[in-house]
Amino acid sequence: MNEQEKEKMRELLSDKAVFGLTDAEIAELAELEENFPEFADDSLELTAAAIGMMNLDTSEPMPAHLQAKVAADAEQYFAARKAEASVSEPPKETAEEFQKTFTFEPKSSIWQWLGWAVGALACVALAINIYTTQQKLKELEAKTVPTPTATPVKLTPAQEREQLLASAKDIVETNWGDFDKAKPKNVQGDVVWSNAAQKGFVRFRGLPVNDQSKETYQLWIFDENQKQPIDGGVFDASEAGEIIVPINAKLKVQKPIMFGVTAEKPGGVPVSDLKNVMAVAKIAA
Amino acid sequence: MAESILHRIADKDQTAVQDCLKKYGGLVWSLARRMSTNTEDAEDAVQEIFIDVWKNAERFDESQSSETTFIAMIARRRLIDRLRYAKRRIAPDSLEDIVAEPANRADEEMQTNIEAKDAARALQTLRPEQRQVLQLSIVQGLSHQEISEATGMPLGTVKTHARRGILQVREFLGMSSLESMKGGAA
Repeated sequence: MNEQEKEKMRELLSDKAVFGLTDAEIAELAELEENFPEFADDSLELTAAAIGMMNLDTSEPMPAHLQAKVAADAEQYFAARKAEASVSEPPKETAEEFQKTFTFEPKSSIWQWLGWAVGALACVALAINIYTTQQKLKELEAKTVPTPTATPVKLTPAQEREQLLASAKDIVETNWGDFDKAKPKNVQGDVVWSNAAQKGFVRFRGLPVNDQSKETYQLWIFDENQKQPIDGGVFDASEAGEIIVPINAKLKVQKPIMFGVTAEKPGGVPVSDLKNVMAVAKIAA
Repeated sequence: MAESILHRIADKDQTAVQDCLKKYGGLVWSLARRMSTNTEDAEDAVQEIFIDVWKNAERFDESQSSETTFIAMIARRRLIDRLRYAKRRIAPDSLEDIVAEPANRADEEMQTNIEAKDAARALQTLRPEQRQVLQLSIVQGLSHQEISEATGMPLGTVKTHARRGILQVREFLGMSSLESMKGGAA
């Protein structure tokens, strides 16, 4: 890290602590922190937090209904974390269970020994039989269907979105709004995007259910460095209410300035004529 | 020594949630009310802040700050973010009143925790302009443009006072940066 980069990082960290940063500054700091993680630092924000507690009247407790909401949110949050953990860490046999399974008491009687010997022989015979049968089955399966593989439990888009929010440091968040104020579509929701992870999610409320035989929805990412908006993937709104869709950018996104969703012909289009824009989400400069 | 609430949360001990709300609910609620335009907005902010607290609990380092200051930092981050997106600032009754306010109260009874008390003392060591800029921005929630307009200081000067002032308060509080720990110039 050269002196100029060091100075820039100090300035950004100070401004972040005192005033907050613009999106461009957030991106700049995220890039510096990614390149120089050893200089990423909370100490100025902690200092600002200590100053921010000066003269703070904390005598009024949090309202009971709000406390209940926060507790309910926490329950949901920890349940989601638990679900994620069970996906990433499959349950292991505990040492105790392992011992229980594999420990046996030695017996002294000859009859008991003979019993074990016969049992062992029977097991060997059974194992050989199972092995040969399985081999035959495998040969048969190979001719008919592919070998099934273990299917990992898939996270829901909501869980994946939460995971991204928890892990990415450079999250950009923005809300959907009307493209043409004269013809409001009243689509609500938000966009979260991480440039470092090249991953993001959109949430919609009020996006009409589409007739899949006639049209599909398509996401677009408007990048400052691209002449045409980047295709973010197609999706259908098959039910009313909130829907969450992962953004599937077909090109590397460098500097997103706006997201859009359009209605297109089934399968989507490589370049949109932007005639049916359902909503746009601008990133504040 | 009892395990900190945040470490218990990081260990997925859900019983720590109630303890956290009991101990820090008032603090977060007060910060949210101070930096939100209305009660509804403050309530939404509190919900978001506590989700951030659960997410960031494992990052708490007791050698760097108290749990109270760490939670206040998480709260400030979210509140600043919300202000930025809402493109609104706290609407003070009168900007002139705030600027004229003798906001250098170091009255220890008024301070929430030991770091807030020390911060109040640290502000007394700053140059008056640095102290004014930090109080208007951090305590009153004004943007650098608003401070520039209210005080007549050029925008760059506002930022310079803020940067120098916050570094000096950090020194006073002994909140060492990773950079200085690694021997870099602070």
